[in-house]
Amino acid sequence: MEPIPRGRCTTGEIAPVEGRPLNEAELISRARRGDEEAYAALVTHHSDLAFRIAYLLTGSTTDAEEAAQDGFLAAYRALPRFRSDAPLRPWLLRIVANSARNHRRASRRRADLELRVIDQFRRGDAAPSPEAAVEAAEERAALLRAVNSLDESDRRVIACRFFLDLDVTESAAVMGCAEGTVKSRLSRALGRLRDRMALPAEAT
Amino acid sequence: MTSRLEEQLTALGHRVEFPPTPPLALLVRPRLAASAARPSSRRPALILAAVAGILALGLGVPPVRTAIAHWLGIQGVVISPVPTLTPQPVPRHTPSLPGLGANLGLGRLSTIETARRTAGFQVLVPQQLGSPDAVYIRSDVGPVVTLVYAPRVGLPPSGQTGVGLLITEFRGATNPMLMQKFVTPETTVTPVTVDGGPGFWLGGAPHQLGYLLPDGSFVPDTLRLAGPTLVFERGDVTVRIEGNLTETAALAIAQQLS
Repeated sequence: MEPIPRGRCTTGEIAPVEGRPLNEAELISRARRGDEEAYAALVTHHSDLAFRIAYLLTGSTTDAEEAAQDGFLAAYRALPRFRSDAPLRPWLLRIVANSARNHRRASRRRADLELRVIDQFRRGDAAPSPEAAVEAAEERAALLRAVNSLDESDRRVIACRFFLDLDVTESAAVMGCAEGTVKSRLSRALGRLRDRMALPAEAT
Repeated sequence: MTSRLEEQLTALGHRVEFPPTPPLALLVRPRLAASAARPSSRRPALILAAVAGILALGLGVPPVRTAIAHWLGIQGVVISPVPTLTPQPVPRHTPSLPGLGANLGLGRLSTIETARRTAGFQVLVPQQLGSPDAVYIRSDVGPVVTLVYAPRVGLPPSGQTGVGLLITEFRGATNPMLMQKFVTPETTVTPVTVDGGPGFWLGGAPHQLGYLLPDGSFVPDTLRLAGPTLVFERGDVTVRIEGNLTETAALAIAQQLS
C-alpha cells in the first residue's frame, strides 16, 4: 500500500476556486460557514487515512465505512468548536477513531483484523534477482505473521506508527490514550515482536 | 536511533494491503445538511424536495441523507439498507410509446451504434443474445446505456419490468454520480466474481434503484422495484444485469459480454 503523503490530496484534487486550489485553512473557514463543497474537499483529502484507521479499529470494511462516514459527519457538526489555530488532522482522526470504537462496540461482527501484504513487483522498486525477491517476500511474510499474532493493542500501535505512518500525537488521538502511553506501548510491542521473531534485543 | 526491526516494519508498511477506500466525500455529502446544527444554505430545500418527491410517490424509501450507504467495492455503486420498500407497479406499456421498455424510464431511445459512438466507453453486448431489441441512453446521470431484450426462451418476462432482460452500463470510475441501491433485510447480497472482477448478486426480495449526484441530490432510476440483479465491473465499465434470472443464468450472460 502506498504510504499516504502528508499535506497533499491523495484521492482527488481540491476543486479550484477562482483559479487556485484553496488551502486547508481556507477550506475549514468555508466549511464552518456551512459550505458543503469545501467540507467535501476536506473529506476527500483525509478519506484514505480516516478509512484505514476505522478499518484498523473495527476490523470490518462495512463497519469502517459507516464509522468513517459518521466520523466525518460528527466532525462537521463539531467544526464550529474546532480551534482554527490547531492542526486539523489529529482532531479529525480522534473523532473518526471514536466513531470507529463506537461502531465496534455496537457491531455484532467481530471480524478480527488480519493485515495482508501486497507482494507483486511494484513500480519504482529496484529490480531484484528472483532469489533476492523470494527471500525478501518470505521475510516480509514472516514479519507480518508475527505482527498478526500479537494482541490487538500491540498490533494497533505498530500499525499506527509503521503502517499508517502516524506521529505520536496522531497515534495517541487514534488509540484514545496519552502520548506517553503510545511510546511505552510501542516499546513493549516491539519487544514482544522481537521475541516472536526470535531476534536479539536491540538498543533503540 | 531506528532499529533494524523498525526499518523492516516501515518497509512492510509500504506493502500492507488495506481495502480500497470508499468514496467518502460522495457518501457523506448528501448527509451534511441533515447533520449540520446550523441552518444551512438552500441545499436542504433541494434535498428535501427530492426526498419529498420519493416519499410522495409512496415508495417508502427513507430520506437518502439518513440512509447509510455502503460501498460495495464496485466503482460507482453504493448500497443502502432500508427497513421496507413499498412495491410500486410499473406503468403499463402503452403502444403509443415506441420501443420495448419505453415505460421503464431508461432514458432516450437510441440505437446500439449511437450508444457506442456517444457513451465514451466500450458498450458491451452479450454475444449469444445478439443485438438488443431496444437501446436507451440516459445523460442526466452521466452517460448510462441500457440494453433491453424481449422475453424469449431462457429469458422469461420479469415480474418487475415485463421485459426479458435489462443490461445497464456506465463508466463507474469516472461517472460523477453513484448508482444507489436500497435493499431490505429480505434482499440477499452475495459477493461473486465475474471474470476475476468483483461483483454482487442481489437476490431475494426486490430492491430500489437510484442515482446519487455529486451535489447530493438523488434521482430515482425508475419508480419501479428491481428484481434479481447481478452488478459487477468489467474493466472501467460497471454493468448491471436484471431479469427473471437465476444467479447462474445471470453469470452466464455476464461471461458473454464483449
